[in-house]
Amino acid sequence: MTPLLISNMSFFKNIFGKKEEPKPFSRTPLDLDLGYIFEYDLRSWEVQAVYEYDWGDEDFSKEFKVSDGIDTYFLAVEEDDEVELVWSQKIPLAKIEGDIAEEIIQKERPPETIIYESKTYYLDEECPGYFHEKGEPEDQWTEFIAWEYYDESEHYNLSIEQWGERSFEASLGRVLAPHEISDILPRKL
Amino acid sequence: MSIFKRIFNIGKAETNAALNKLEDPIKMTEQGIRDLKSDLDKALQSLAEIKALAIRARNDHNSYSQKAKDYEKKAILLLQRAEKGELESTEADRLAQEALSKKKDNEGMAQQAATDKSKFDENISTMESKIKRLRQQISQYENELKTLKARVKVSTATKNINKQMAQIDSSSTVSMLERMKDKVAEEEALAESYGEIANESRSLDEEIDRALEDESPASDDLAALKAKLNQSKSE
Repeated sequence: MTPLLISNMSFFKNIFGKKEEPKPFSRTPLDLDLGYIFEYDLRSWEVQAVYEYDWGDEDFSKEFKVSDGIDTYFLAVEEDDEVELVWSQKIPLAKIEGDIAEEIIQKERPPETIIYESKTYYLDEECPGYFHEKGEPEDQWTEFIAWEYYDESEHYNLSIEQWGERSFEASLGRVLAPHEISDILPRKL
Repeated sequence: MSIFKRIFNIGKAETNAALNKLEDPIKMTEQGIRDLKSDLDKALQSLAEIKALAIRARNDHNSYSQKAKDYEKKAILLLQRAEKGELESTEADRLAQEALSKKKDNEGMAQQAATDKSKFDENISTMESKIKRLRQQISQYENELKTLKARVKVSTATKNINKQMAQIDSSSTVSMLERMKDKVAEEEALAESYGEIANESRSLDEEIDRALEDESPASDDLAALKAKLNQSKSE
């Protein structure tokens, strides 16, 4: 190809080729989306579902259901002053000491402390909100309430959620530093 | 070479020269880096596809292996029931045979998934090293561009200063000073000449007046001093 043609191509590309600049070096967990792949704990994880949470007062967060082909976890991502990440897995409510579900139904709130696998977790906050799964109709938001507990170190989190009158879920999580999620790869599904 | 070809070549050379003048090397490099980043992003997407296939293959291997184990368990359970007399022996054998056949099928598929997984892992490894090189290349270009930009800034500033200095020298500032000096010297000479002419053209009356003007307070002082001296002598 002659220099003239190359110059012309670049010239026109400059004028008409303006589009969003790719950011292969600067992807963060906030950029994750359906189908994306990332590395954590020396394993590759694929985002299989994206959940959106509306906590009111313009406060939103996201959670990603991820799998490495064997295990399934959830990665919660929230941007406050800085990015907060929690890596969690569902646990049976029955494994938490005491009848949490019954206590919530009776007293309309859970206990201040709970014990799971001999570790004590302390109630941090009560979060009523709305849940929506990406891909579902936009007006399909489900109301629920979550109670967030942390251990003394505040590195481990235990969450109890109430969906409807008698439906409860619990999950155990670990607070991650943003750099622990790496090699975020985009993917178009 | 025909005359038309020569004319065409001249035109091409002139156009190239004109375009070269239009090109800003920094902007061109920035565009080049953007293009490389775009290529890198496409490569990352391809890598994501292969990683997703590897994850799927691992999932398939896991679920087929699990199914194979389940069929084996079922075959054992069927034979145990036949032993206990809970199931007819021939029927138990037939079903156990079926279960073992299914187990074998699943083992085969698990094996295939494992082979696929290792192939994908190899591809991932190759792609990752290529992507690493591309990343390094982009980082290197970005650093070089930063240095280049800094050098351009310094050279532009230096050029501007030098240009201004050069303009000061060549402009009339220095010669203006020289001219001012000449003019002042001229004025001084003129004033001196006027002074001399003035002295020469004094009249007699003026000389008398001038002599009388000498009896100034300073002359009185002189007289007083003389008187003082005479007084000290007589003492």
